[in-house]
Amino acid sequence: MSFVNHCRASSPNPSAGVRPHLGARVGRSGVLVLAMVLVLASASCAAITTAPARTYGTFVDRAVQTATSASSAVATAQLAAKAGAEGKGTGAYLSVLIGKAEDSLGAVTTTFESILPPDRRSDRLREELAELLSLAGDDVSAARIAIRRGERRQLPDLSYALGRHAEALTKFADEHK
Amino acid sequence: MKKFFSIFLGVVTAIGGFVDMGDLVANAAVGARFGVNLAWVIVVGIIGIVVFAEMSGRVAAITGRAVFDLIRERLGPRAAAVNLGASFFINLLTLTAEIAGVSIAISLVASISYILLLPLSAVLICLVLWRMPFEWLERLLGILGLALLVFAVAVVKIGPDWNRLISDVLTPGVPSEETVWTYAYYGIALFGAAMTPYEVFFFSSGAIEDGWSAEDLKVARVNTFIGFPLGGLLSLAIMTSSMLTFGDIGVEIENLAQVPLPVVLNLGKLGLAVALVGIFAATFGAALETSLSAGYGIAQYFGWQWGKYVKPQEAARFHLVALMTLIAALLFALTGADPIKVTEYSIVLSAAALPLTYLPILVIANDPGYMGERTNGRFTNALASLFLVILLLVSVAAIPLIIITRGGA
Repeated sequence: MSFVNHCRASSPNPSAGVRPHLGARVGRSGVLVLAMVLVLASASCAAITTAPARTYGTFVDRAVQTATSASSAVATAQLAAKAGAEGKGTGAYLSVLIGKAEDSLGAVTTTFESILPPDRRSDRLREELAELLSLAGDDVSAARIAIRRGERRQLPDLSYALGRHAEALTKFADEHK
Repeated sequence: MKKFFSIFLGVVTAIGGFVDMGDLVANAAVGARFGVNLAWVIVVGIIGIVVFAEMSGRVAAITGRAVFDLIRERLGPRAAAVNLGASFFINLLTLTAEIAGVSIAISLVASISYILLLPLSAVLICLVLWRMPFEWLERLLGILGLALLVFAVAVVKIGPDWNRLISDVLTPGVPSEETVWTYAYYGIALFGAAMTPYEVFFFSSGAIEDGWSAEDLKVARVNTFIGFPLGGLLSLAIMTSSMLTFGDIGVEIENLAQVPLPVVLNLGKLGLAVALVGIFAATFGAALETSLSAGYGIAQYFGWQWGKYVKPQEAARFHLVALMTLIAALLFALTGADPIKVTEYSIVLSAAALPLTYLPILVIANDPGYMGERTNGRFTNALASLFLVILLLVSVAAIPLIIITRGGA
């Protein structure tokens, strides 16, 4: 039997064709409900991510989230700088890796800075975290430039500095949890 | 000797072809965040996919017909349409993630934005789909996927405390800094990644493409029973390498470029090259499979001519659906949707739709009208029924968990 014929051999099995349809009652309403749930799920995720901070407690939560995400990005950049310093990754790979870490750090920084602090205490917290983010951002950028230029000599120092920034951000998050 | 070689090749292909973008992302993300506390889910997922892949392969070999063809006939057009719609939607999400994965793998070599590489990847997928014979396509990418074994080498090179590692695997729990909800969410993501519906549709349709008959069942079983569990070891290696590298420093997996970093830090540039070959093969292979699965599902549902061995002009609608799905996925990926999020949602939503795929297979595999004397045995039915309960629980919990955990945040 040729393959074409094999595939065409899909006519209903006579002995099975008379069996009742198990899902005859399943209709369009099921699909609509599923679609609504999916929309609700996506909307709830988006709403929670962009909701404003109305109280000090909420602002602290957002600051902790920001510090945790930033620490992750900075630690990734530190590992990229370490790999670059030890000559372990290709320039192309490390460039993309650290570029993504920089983008991620930039995104969380921008999002945090766009949140209006609700009171004076929040102002101080905002300043503290903004400084940590700024220092880390400068060194991530410096490491990206060094990797792209192939300047390996700078990378051990930058790797060390990035490790310290990641630790500082983690400490900030832990202290305010 | 020829039979041994055929079995060996099949097993190797099953191992290398087991991992896709969903497995890469889910295992690396879970390893970084939960260590090996969710490794048991991979084991459960592998048992599940082995049970149902064997069943769907047997159904295809005995009836000479693929899954969707039978689902429509057995469940009726309405229920089958719901099944088809859900499977197609998840397939589209998965294909989007795989195309992005292929592009990111190339971008890590070329240092060009992956968005710019998306059309190139789609053209490449299209050309291979068009020109490469099915058997070659399956085997070549499966064998190249074995390059992911480099993650296991990296784990050995890191040299973990094996006793502690094994103890952690055997005594799982929710880490103190996590909630039970995020634990459940990522557990479901891992489960969905291991039991992605397209794998069964592709496996079943591939059995028809390869012309399986009852005589091929032994070889098919060996491939399934040995190949899939060994493929699961790749998943465990990715998870463990991620835990050992990122776990203590709080790194979250946010992009595919982070996944091979444990290999880079421990095996250098050569390790990176091998890992990238593996990631490319895994995502490219899965992109081909999901494109074909889209065509298989719709063509089988509507009773059109289908098959990769059939000349395009003789199965024009099947090829057109595969092509249009590829274009739709490309357009979706070009919107700049985060590939990691698309991957996470595709595997969690696929978990939500799992009963729609696996219940009909179980029903058909027990129907003597289709299977004659080759219906499920008691043990298979007991195991499959147990899994069906798990699948239903996972299905009910998946979408609420997306909402409660804000997508695993």
